[in-house]
Amino acid sequence: MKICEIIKSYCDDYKIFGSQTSSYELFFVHGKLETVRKSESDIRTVTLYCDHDGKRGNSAFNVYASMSEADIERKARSAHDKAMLIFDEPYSLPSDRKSEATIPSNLNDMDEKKVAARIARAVSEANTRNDCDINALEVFVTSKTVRVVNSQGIDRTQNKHTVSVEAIPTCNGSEQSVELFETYTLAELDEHALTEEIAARLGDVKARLEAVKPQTALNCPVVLNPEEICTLFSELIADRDYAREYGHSNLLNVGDMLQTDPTGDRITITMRARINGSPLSSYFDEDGSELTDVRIVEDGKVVGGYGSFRFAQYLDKAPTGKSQCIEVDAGATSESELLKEPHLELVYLSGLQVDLYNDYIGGEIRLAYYFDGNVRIPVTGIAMSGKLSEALNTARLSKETCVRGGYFGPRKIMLNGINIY
Amino acid sequence: MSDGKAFFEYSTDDVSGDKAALVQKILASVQTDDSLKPLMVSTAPVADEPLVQSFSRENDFDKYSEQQLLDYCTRLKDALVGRSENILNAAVIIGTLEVSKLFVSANRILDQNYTWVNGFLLVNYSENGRMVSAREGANSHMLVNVLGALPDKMDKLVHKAHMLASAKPIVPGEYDVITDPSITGLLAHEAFGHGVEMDMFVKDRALAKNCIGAPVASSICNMHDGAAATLSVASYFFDDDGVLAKDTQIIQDGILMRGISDLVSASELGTEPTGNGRRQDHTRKAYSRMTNTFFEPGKDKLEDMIASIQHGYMIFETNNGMEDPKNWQVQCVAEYGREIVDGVLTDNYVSPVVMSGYVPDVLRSISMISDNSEIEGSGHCGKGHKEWVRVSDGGPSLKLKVRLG
Repeated sequence: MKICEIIKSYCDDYKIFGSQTSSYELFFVHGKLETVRKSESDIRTVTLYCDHDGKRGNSAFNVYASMSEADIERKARSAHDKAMLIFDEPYSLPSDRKSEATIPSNLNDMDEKKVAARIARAVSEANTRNDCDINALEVFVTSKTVRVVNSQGIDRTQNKHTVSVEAIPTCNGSEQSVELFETYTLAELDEHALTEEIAARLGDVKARLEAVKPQTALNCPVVLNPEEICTLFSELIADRDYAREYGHSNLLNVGDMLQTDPTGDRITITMRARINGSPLSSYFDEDGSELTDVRIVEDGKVVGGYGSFRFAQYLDKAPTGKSQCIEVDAGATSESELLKEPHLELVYLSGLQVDLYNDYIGGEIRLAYYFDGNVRIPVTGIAMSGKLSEALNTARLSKETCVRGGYFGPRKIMLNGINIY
Repeated sequence: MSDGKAFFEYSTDDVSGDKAALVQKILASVQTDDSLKPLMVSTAPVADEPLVQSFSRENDFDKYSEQQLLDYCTRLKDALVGRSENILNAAVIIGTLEVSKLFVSANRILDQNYTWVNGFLLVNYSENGRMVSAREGANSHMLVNVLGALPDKMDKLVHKAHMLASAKPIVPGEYDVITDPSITGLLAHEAFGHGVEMDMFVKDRALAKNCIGAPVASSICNMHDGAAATLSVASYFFDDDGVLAKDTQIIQDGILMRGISDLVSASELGTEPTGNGRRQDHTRKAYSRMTNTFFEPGKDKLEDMIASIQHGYMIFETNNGMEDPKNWQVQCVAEYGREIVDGVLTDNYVSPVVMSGYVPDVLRSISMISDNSEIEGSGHCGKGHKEWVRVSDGGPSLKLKVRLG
């Protein structure tokens, strides 16, 4: 019997979120293959919605392939009882949409074992230096099919293929050995680009070996690279989630100025359902809601929000779904122009800290390049912090763009007003 | 599986159907491209000593119905909201974890069942045009302990939110600092927990590999990790390799003694596994991972430690941290700090506070250790940026000199 036939007598509405994942994995140590893994999972998460006393409750449980009909029925009965204890404001589920789609990718028809081997080869082709190498490498080739079915006519399926690479560039000197930690999740296999990227990181790790702690305090703008830019804008955008607004925990509202007195570029941010080359592209969210592109910030002003079908109803807003990609409009200045003036280019941080509540941006810097106007030297052993609002006012965005994870936008951003210590 | 060359794993959540067909599927699934076969490592067999044993820990989950727990949360939430008109939103969370695992190998059959409870009070609070969020928590293997502890934390939470609403940014610099147990635990975790995960020794990714037997911290420092080292969220009976839990003393009197390992790493290094092989879930690989990581208490009174500082900060509550086992940089982010002036802990709050530095410098600067200790069992730990497992950490308060910003 189908799951929906078993559960429908225990609820007013239901949703079944199915996730089938197949992952082929290689783990290398010092260029040697240490572990080969294959992982397959097929999990369906069933959510029951029960209306009572003018309210709606829900409760979820997992269904595995080995469970019997009696097992599922027992779980459904228990979930019903739990849902009856929940008194949420009523909401409806998305309805009447059937679709099946595959996120476009050159990985879609490739053999997973061959893809993994090609990635390993692409990394090893960058590994040609005598003084630096990749001393650990993990490769994950993943196929994932998600299907959302609900009691209101949603039946949507999406297939996605991605690869993840975790590489540890290492450089051994006479007195010390240093490393960087690099992870990439990619929606397309481009071996040449991967080799170039790894080769560049091997150059960076050599720089970390040579990096010194500056003898005097640095007083210059800082330049962020794509990973940190993505962190910065993701934190800003997260504040515009309908769920946060409903919970009174958002700081930014429509009409607020993200940049109150901009001296650099005005920032424009859009939530995107799909970005070419992004592993976070998707057609629908976990509710089966169609994902729509939404402008969140335009020319430094907050103009929109996004969120799930339920919280959109609570706030009487248009449903947008919960997209995972963000696009930031490019700036007017070329990267080379931006980098002409003295600056500190951040290459590797412990983790960029962005705190809207405390108007803070900062973090420990493990590798950066300091350019004094004439010479570019690698530096380490320093940290930075500043007021987020002041830094955003000074933001200058590069003309050149790139895709990194769920981010598409300027490859460099220069911020002023940051203390480096 | 191992054939004397690489290790091979297959994971699934469906073992129904024809077993012989499943075996053939597994063997086919872990084949590699021919180009990789010459690259395989050579491995020694892993230990698999015979053992059949069941483990369980007392819990009281069946004494409370879901209705009772919900009623408790609702009452506490209403009481919390009633504490201040500045509270915009409040949440009371009781999170229960029940783990049942069965380990079967050629020679071992082990099973275990244990529980853990995390309780949280959360508020979003607005005052003087500024919004902050604040939390208090309690944790135990017994619901009764958590349900009993949370109500007493409401006043502290509201006072903290009030103070955070006027917190200022810290002036970056090097300070005399006292850590609360949460930050002590974060330091232990980031500074020397990740640094002694012995799969990192295999990869030559941990500087600690070359420092066994050497002084790495102040001579008054003693640090442990182990699922059997204390009772907290990571206190299991056997790890995901089927190795029994242990208490590993990592630092003794400031000397680095040993690391923590999973079965494969121990096999490759020729050492005894320490019961630290952990998986995020059944679909993921086991790595060497921390469990409960903490400094031992010392002999100093906290008030004496505060009194010894002319100007500095006491810093509180873990936000996040990041390890660097190869190069021993460390970053620990605290939710807030309180200024110490002329030996007095003031109400001058700063937030957030990022503590960073070079691990040996930080640990060697430890000059006083308090005689109290607290382990916080609400943490999650990633290895790099993935492989999340639940961990605890903590210890006493430490006095040290470190950079804050």
